[in-house]
Amino acid sequence: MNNRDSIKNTFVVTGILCIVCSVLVSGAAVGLKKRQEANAELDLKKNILSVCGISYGDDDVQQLYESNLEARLVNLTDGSYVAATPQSGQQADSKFSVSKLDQSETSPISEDPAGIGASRENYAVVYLYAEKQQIILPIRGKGLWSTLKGFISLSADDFTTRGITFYSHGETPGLGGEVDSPAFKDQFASGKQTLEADGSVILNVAKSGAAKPNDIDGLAGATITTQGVDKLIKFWLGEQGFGTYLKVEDKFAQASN
Amino acid sequence: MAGSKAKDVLLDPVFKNNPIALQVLGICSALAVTTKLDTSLTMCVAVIFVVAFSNLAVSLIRNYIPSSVRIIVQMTIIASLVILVDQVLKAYAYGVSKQMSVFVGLIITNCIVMGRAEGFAMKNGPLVSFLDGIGNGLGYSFILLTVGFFRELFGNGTLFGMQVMPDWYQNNGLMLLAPSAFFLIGIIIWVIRTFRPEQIEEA
Repeated sequence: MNNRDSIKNTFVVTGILCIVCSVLVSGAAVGLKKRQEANAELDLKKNILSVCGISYGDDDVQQLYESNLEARLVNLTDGSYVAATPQSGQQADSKFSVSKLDQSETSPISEDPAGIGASRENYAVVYLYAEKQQIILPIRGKGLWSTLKGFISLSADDFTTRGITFYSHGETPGLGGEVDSPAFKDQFASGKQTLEADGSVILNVAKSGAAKPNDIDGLAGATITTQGVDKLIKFWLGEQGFGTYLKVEDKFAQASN
Repeated sequence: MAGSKAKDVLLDPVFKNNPIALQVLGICSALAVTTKLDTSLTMCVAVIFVVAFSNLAVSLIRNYIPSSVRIIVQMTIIASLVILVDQVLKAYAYGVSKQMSVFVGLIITNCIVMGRAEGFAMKNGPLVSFLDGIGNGLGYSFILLTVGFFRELFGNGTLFGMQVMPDWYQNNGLMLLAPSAFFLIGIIIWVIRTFRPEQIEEA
């Protein structure tokens, strides 16, 4: 009994236990990583399909995605399509990662309303849905607790909204978490106006909005999340985000270089 | 005798000594994940797995665990098992795991798991502890599935995502909010104690 409670035994038992547990946990994490990544990719594709308004089943996500959508890499500075990022060599498949971008491939931003940090990437992946002439842009920004990540779908000719989705957020379930609810997202599907002719963003997400064709009714009880969504949409559709790209004519033409 | 004891250990926690209804443990997750039956079911399987194997592991090494750090040792075992479950769910049931978000991780703090490890597995043999874990997991599952059944049925008009309520039924949004789980658990406790008056505590 004494031996069991001795300092030596305490260290030995806890030491062995820690090793066994960490082998177990890291084994599971490494062994299952491939499947988890495949799942995350599939989930991303489901989100892109849903923001396009394409209904999908469990088995045809991959096939629907491939037949309807095309991923393109965009240079946000001049709005042109590129084949790969010059320094880090990333391409427009679903593995494109902002964090892998070389430092020279990001630009400092003067104002940061969406809370994405001091710099913005120069390259982003957009998705083109040729059949309905929609462009799907990745958006992200701070809500109350977390960074909201999602996609917004715009009509290519008049830039009215076609859909929005947030695939990753950590907002309060039931309050801010409702950004992911159909009731909120459906407001975007009805074609809200987003841009003036001069490129300024006029879409408002606000409390008790929805009276005007450029208003989205915000979330009750989630003021800061609502403001976050408002700011991130303004940022990404604005001059510092996809503004330049949106002005480019004929986005569905083949990429040049 | 041994056989009947194993059976008691396995089945007692379901009705007679239910961890939620009698001991009122593990309420938090019972509120959070029971809006739908598929998340409830996943949670049940996860909890049964964790309680059973943490009991087994704690019981196997109970004679070596220094009493000064026994809670930490139990936590380490439980936490490892929960991470394991979380990883497996992310790999094989991504949609459900995304809906359950933090609540899988919160099994670590589920009082039932900790309570059984400290209260039962530290004093009993591996096999009977394992059965005790399964039994308590089943008791937890029984409540969770009952609550989940009624919440999904009246809140969404569906069961496992399939429409079962007729068209005229207006979904009751209150059933999807946490308070309704409180009401349901209260009703379940009431029903159980009506049939088993010995569970009623003296006022």
